[in-house]
Amino acid sequence: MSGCAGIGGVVLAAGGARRMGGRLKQLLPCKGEVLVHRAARTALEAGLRPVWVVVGAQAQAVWQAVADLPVEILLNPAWEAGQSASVRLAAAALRRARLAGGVFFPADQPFVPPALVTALCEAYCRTRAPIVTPEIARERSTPVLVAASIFPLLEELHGDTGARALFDRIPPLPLHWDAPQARAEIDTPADYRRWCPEGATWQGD
Amino acid sequence: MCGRFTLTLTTEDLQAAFHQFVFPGGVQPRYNIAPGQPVLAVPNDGRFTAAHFLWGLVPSWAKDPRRYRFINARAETAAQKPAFRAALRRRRCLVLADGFYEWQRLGDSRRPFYFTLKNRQPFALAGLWEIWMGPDGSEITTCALLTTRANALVAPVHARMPVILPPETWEAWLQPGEVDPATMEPLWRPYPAEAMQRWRVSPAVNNPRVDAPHLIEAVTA
Repeated sequence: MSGCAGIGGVVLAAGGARRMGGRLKQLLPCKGEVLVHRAARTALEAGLRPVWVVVGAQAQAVWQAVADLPVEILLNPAWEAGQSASVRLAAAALRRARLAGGVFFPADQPFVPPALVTALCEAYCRTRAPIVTPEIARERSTPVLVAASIFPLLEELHGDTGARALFDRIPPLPLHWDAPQARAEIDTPADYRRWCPEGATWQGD
Repeated sequence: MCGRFTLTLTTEDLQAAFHQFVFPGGVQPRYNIAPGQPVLAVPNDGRFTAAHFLWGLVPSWAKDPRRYRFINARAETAAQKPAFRAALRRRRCLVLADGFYEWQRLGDSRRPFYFTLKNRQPFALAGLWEIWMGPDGSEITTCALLTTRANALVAPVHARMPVILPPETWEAWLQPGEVDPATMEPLWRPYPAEAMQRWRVSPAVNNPRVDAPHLIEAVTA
């Protein structure tokens, strides 16, 4: 996809949140595949290369869930220190691969369409804005595209935060997106029941 | 050094080619398998079942798995190396492939070549696997490929090549439990050059982001 030349993908799947009845969120099935697989597949389908999956909690189970995809695995043993450890690891990988930018995906947002990711990349190529985020129903959402100039800043993050810690300093370019499902997050058992009911078939946007 | 290889087969192809092993479903053809990625391997756990291992061996004693990612182990010295000696005795595996790439250094540039068996059948590379225990007690299984000196076909391109194990050695290599490394030395013989073929391929393979059939197509100088 032309909009995504030189832009890599990062799926942040190292967290240990178990609010879903003791199950690791990134391994919950939704529409026929587990959430981490869905995020990695979306990144690949959007044309991002390479795609890294950062794993930490139950690392083996999580990377095994994406082993059928052409992704690279980043092991983050410091996942308990918060999301910044994963972001630092991924930013260093993006920098070493000399990419023009990277798109960071949470693993718990199952209805991000590949077209949204492509649109983020195209917005970046058009404007060279250092950070591009989707704006859905007037709210800032993820995935977040960051340009190479931002990688060193990401490598300095600490605590339980990601690129959003930079938004005050570097206001993101908003990319308006109309389909509100794209921002659906699976954060509670109620979200999960709502968005991933057994047997329901999501047809995409 | 063996830093890229191919396995251009599906689960069904693999099952037909290696009837003695059991394969997971959903395996898709791969033309540019690179370090850090999951690779398909049969470990010596007595089950003859292929599973995915992360390519880049992390020794069990590594405090930080980001620092130790061994993609190759020199077969001749693995028995002495702290990162490999336990694995060589106790944790061996077959890494499945149907071709591998090596690069020829020419001054400042590097030209990639692709190597396969003449009969184009998939084959088994000798690998070592290891278990690293995460801070949360979960295990991560990783692997490295054993390398040996190049045969006459590989030598003009590169001085080393992966150890290719012929089928008659698989049972011994995959026996569970402890094996004396000295008994394995005959296995480090380079695979016969006359059973292999090579051709030059496009530098497109240099980029691990590219994974497509055109990577293994021959190019002329």
